[in-house]
Amino acid sequence: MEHQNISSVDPVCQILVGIEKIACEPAVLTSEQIDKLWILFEQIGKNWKDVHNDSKSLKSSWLEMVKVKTESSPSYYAEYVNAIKVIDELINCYGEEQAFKWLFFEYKIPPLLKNLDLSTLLSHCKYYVVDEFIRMYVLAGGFKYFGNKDSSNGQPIVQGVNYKGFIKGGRQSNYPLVRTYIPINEGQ
Amino acid sequence: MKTYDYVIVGSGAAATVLAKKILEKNPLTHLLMLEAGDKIDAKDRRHWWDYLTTATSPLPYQYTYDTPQENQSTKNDKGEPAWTNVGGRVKSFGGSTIHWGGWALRFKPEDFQLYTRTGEGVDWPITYQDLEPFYKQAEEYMSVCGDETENWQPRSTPYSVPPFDWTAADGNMIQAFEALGIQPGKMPVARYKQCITTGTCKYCPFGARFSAQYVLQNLVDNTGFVNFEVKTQAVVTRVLTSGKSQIDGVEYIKRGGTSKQRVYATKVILCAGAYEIPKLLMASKSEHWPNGIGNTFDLLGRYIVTHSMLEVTGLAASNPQGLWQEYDFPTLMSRTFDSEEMQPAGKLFIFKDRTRPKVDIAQLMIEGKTKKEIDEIIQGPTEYKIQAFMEEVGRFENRISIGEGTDQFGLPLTKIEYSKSKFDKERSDKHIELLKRIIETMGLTVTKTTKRTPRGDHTTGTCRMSAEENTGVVDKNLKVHNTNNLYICSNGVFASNSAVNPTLTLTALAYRLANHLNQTIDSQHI
Repeated sequence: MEHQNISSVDPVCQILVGIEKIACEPAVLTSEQIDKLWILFEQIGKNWKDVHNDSKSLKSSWLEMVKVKTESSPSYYAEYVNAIKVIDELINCYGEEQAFKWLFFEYKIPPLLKNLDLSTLLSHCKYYVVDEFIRMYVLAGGFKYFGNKDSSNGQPIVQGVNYKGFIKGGRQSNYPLVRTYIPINEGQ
Repeated sequence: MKTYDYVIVGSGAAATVLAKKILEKNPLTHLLMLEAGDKIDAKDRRHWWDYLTTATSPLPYQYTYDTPQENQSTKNDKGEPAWTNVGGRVKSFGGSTIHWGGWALRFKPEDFQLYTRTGEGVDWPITYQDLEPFYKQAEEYMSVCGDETENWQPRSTPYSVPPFDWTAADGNMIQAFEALGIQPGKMPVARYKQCITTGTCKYCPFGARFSAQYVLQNLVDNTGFVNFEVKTQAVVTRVLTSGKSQIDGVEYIKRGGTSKQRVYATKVILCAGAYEIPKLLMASKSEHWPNGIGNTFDLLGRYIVTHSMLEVTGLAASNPQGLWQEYDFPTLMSRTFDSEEMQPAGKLFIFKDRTRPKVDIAQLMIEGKTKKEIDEIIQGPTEYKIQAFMEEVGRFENRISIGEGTDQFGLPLTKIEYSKSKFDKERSDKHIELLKRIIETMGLTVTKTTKRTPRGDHTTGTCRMSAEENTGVVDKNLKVHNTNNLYICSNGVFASNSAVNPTLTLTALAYRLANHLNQTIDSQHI
């Protein structure tokens, strides 16, 4: 797939819109729409190899976020519906695996002066949905094992790392909350 | 004409303690609280999610911050503002503990005797021992989590809540401290038990970091306090007097309106912070107070001082263990240089920066980096930073006064005349050398040293306490000299600034004042 080359087979992606969030009233997503958005979320885990977690453990937090963002003002409902259409088009054109790889690792929102050019539906999908889902995935504890080998000795780092926003609770009880300091003498 | 028992101006940490204790003593007290700011949503999930998941959403209280355009400070020798207020305070229902870090440290006994011990500044008219029982109450009220094995200052009882442990990322700095003979300590922070360290203290989704807003809302919701009222968007413009000693009440304007309202009270307590109180008193001139109430000796607004923050950044060549700053507050600190021995040379409170080491994993993913690339970045060159607050002594010529224009709330802007002394500059240079030694002992390369522009978060001294009326504005019970019934409870009353954050000491002073006021009422009823 070409970088930045949104070809004529991607008509939805190319549609021009304003750079602000697409305005709409608060609304409730259908279960089908939620399922499609969830696929996007799961693909984040798969593509960044979140092998230590099952994304399902993050689903209740994710559902809360999606519900709050769509059912209160300013609503994300229109952005989420747009993201579904954009991703459907990419999948239809390139297949699921390639579509998500391209969206996550190759597509870059073009710069515009000191900001980003959010003038296409594709850029909206990336900025308002994909990027925010990535942030949510990380804060929900999904990537506590990044950098997870001590490169001085190759041993896995068994304690997790607390990323900003992580809420420890019953679902995450197998993780220690933070990596605490162990004095040298005690560690020996 | 209604006369309240109390009118309190301001609604922050001090005002809330006073209201709480006065109402607990007598629930039927007629108490009016006037706040210029708005009520801000707290513990709102939508605000929290936006804060975490978007790159740009401001927090709901940030609109209240002073703006750079409102800065009316004198310039330093680089031609830049010598003082800044931007981000230093929140003007709202509940005040600045909506956004504070929650670091809650006591002053030390020597801080109350700065003049006796160093010949600089003035002594407080009270001692540490006078305030100690109220420090205890303040710590319990704010749920301060501290290490009971540490003895930075005398305590009658240990902390009632255990501290947050040092993180793995603190380890290297702890070992450097120990190698240099610096005692490492655990930062006492005001966190309730429901804190599960989301690292989002700036807007806690659970209300786990102490905020006066929560306490004040509980007071408002308490149906037993039938005569307690808080008015927001109420800008107090003048304190009213009918003679030299007798204060009658205050005058205020509802924001956006023009008609002035007058409210009368048996006692008036000003809790509006170290900037607004002196300006309000300066604006309250009369034939009896030609320079403003409490300003007979031209001390109102003077001796302004804060904590200048010093920083040294160091770079580790690699981070093989993938260390990470996991809390949104520092867990490692030391008061080794915040001591009697250091006081003549200037105290220093040091702590590890809460923002390093850290890699923004989400941002790297957004930029399309693979897991392998992110792992290499995490384990690659890594920044650490050590920071410190330096004690400074207020000087007569450093002062605030009423500026030109008003802010968005209708409060007059603040003119600040401020410069550092030669002694402060030399002292800060020496402190930077100490911080560099710590970074180098950690095995890091020093990459940057910074002396931040003084910011108003910890402003003190503008209505300082004194035994004699010609050396301060309020007496040992926080009553304005030569008045019968006007009190001030804010950082502005501090006679010295120590090297540590002021909020715990302010809260202790509020408890002490409440105790005094309640005892005064008891004695009147006997």
